[in-house]
Amino acid sequence: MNPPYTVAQVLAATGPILLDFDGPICAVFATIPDHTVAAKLRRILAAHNVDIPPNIQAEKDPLAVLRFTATIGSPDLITKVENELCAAELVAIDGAKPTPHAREVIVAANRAGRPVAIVSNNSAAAINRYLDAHRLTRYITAVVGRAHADPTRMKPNPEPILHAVQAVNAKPSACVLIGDSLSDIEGGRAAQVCTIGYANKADKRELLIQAGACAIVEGIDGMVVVAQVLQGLTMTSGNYTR
Amino acid sequence: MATELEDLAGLDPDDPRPPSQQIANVLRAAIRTRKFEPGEKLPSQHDIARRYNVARETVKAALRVLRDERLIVTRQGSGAFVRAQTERPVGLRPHVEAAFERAHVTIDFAGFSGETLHGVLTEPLDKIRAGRLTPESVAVRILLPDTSQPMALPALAQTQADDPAVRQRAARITRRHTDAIIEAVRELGDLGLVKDARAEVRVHRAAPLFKLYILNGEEVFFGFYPVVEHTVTIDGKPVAIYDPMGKDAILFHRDISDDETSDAAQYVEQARTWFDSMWSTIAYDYTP
Repeated sequence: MNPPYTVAQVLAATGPILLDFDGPICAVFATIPDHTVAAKLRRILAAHNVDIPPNIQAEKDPLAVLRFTATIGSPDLITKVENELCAAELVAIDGAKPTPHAREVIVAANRAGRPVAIVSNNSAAAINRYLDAHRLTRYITAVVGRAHADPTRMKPNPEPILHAVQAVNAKPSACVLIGDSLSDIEGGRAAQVCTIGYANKADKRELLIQAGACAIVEGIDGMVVVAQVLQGLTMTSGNYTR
Repeated sequence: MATELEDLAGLDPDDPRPPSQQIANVLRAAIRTRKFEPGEKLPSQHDIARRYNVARETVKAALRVLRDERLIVTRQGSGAFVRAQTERPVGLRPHVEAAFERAHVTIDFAGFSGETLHGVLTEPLDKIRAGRLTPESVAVRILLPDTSQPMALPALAQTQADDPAVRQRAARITRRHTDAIIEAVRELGDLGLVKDARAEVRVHRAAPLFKLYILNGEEVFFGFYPVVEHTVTIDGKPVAIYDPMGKDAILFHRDISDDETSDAAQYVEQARTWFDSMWSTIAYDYTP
């Protein structure tokens, strides 16, 4: 199965770029593994005598543990888990691994006059810490992070995406969201923005296309395609050149 | 009161420079001293040709010089007019060209790649080749960072550090422009158009943070290189680099003949001292 459009077609038809963070920009849990953070969150639940089902016991993704916590019905416990996750993200972010060519995407977009916003299920504090450390803050129009202690408002909920659309002062259909998760593509569709799926793992391509990605880039080096197209558009397109 | 042609200085029969150059010099002086006011029409080519007893083509060549210096504008069918702003020709280019009207020309440049220098030298060197400028000696000295050694700038943006591939790109750009300058200057010597024509390049291990031009040891242009991040293509892939960007830099100009109350003379002297000190101490021959 092929996506309906090429990356060049999608980028030519859109302006502002919305970037998911963990994946398209960096691997947040590269030095501190995500499963150790998930285990940490589970220990909070266990300490509060929460009965943890086997699928959550086996879960590597701390965000999944956070989502599960929201189903327990204890606002106090969500806040505790949320705070623990925020703290863990802030520690992990210093060891985050930059995604190949992500910087080029951001810089080329900036040179082309396209606003770039980040819309992520990670905490804004960790994202901003990363951007500062990598001298990227100046290129980013807005950072929309995870709503605090309210995981139902995370992607695929379109709300954070629509916040980012508003921040770049555009219509949803004029924006393109680049993400590596189903929640990005599903949230993007719900928000009516264009989407580019970043299939950084072999099994993701079909899933992202089936979820409705407008275009796909593949492989760990996939972001290079976006950077190349943006660089080309910088030179040839009058609209986005300054 | 309009200036009469007869008020203008005559040509010196002992002056070895071509009549067109001499006429250009006379007219330039008249414009600079406001004998011709901004906006005023110059005498017709026909009248100037008769006044100096030269061919019309010679007058045309003289006017072309002034037009290139942005002192006059010529309008098809209605003649030549003194440009409205004549305080100073704007930018480096006309000053470099004027510098080549001297018998002994020296151009010292310190900067990143020599790209702009190459651009501004092309026209005066062409004019020497065409016999329209006739200096006896031309000495160009170019001071650049050594791209064969690790550099602080340009750098790979991701790491803020030196990168061989980024440096090789800088080396190619530098080589293209320095080679062209050296070749063009040497050719003038080889052809016998300039008795003593030299272009030398020396390199150093400091980062290129500004550009400096010293023209005939009397005039200085100085501009900062802001460091910008942009993507360039290396091995077919976009790479974000930190690069010194000189293209849009404003060049500050000082001339030793500026108003005595200014610091221009000291500025030029200090610029020369700096350049000579670099040239004769930590700079070494460029071997691409």
